[in-house]
Amino acid sequence: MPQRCCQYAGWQLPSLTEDYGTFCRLRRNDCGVTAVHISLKVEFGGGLELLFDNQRSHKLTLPARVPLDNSTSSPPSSPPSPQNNEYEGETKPVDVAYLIHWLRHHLLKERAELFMEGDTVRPGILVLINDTDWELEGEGEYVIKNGDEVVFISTLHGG
Amino acid sequence: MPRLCALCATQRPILKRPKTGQQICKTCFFHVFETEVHNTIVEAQLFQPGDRVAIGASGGKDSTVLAHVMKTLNDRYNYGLELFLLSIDEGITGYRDDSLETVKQNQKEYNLPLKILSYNELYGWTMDSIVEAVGRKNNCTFCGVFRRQALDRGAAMLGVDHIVTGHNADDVAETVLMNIMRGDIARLGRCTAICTKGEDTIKRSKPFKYTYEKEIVMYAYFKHLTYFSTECIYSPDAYRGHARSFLKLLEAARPSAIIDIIYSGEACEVSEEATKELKERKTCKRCGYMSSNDLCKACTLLEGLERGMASAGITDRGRKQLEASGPAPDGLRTIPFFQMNAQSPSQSAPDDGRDSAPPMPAVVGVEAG
Ligand SMILES: [Zn+2]
Ligand SMILES: [Zn+2]
Repeated sequence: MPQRCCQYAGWQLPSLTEDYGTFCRLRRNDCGVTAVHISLKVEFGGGLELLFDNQRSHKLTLPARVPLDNSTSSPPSSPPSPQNNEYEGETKPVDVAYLIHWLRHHLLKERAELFMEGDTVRPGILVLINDTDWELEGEGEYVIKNGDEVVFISTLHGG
Repeated sequence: MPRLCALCATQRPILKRPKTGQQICKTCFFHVFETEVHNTIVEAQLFQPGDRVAIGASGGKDSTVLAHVMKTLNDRYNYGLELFLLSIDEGITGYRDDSLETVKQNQKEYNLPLKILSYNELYGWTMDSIVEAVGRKNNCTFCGVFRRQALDRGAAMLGVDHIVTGHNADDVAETVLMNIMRGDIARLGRCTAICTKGEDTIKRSKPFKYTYEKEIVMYAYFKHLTYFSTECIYSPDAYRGHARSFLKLLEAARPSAIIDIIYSGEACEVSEEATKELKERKTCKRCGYMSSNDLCKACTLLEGLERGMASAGITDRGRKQLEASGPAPDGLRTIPFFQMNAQSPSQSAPDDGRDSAPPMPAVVGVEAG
């Protein structure tokens, strides 16, 4: 029997529940239903963690589809449902550009100008997606997949 | 279809090189990173077999990677160098004391002797106490002057006549920009030199002169090197900060900008006339360190601190005020007399009768690895 999404089927996959919270992760669409959420790991280094409550590692759950304009006004902290996951405007699959906006609005604790400049990270901040330079992965346009790891490292601190 | 490394064409690339735009794999990255530093060292003929070389180690990313790479290259290519770690403890609570822990970790990992010299033992002041006395306006001037001299003195104590520092391509380009903005022509060409040496002082080299900061940070990341990355709590050098942001913007638009700026600096050959001023050096009458005036910058700053006239070493007006207020009083704290190791004691003794000042506490010996 193929694994089904708990969100729709009403039951949970215990092993995934522990890792990713109450709302289970879809197994890469193999239940035939589009995933509503994506889980990922975010890490900060090179002094950047100081802007994020001095915490290096964060586990996040983001909506699978997000507004085209990267508006992060409905935080995914409230349990999502297929209903409230639908934004009024146009949507796109969640990408790193959205992640950056989300981090800035929901996780960053101080001095936003040291993290973002314009629509992206401040020049001098390196980004790695699954241990690969994001410049090889399409930068902000990289579509985040379940279980991805995104690392932000500042090069601007200290010598 | 999976992309492949531009160099080995077998592995998956993990990095886009800012210098060349090449997409390369982890193995090739380590190899080209280390080999380029090696080539820089060989081309500039920085070392001779048997040289005793101190790595200026702050615990930050650049010097942590430098220590790793120097150790690696020395073993791989049989440079025959005797390497040391040299750290300056400025006495900044919550900043330097933490970063020195990182240096001590490096010492254990690389099994290199470590020497820590503190402002407190050399000058009788910590940066914390200096900031308390002068406020946060000119503290970076004190720190810069004191650090430079402390590094030279630390090197002399180690019997080393060559210090390598972690200055990278971004740092050099930033300094070129700042010298242009200041109109400092004499320093413009000089700041790009890979190795600088004063008359009787210690050589300083930058093996990372052509190494991009991005690659240094990536190298540390992929090699799992731990470094300390907190901003100095006293360093609001806004001007330098703007220069750095500007450089990063240029780099984002065209990654070769950094190396281009370095080449521009190198191309600014400075005529003998302009550099003459920099070359004429005497030694400080009080402490024996090289100086262009009777008193070196550190001694002037220290006397100002001791006599409660902190601006003495910073502005011309301040110095005149200090001179006008009479000679330095007896018992003034001074810096121990500077002598290069194994050099004849022919350097003139202080002629102002103040050589009887109480000697500074003896420096702690080299901690063996
Ligand atoms: Zn390769
Ligand atoms: Zn002096």
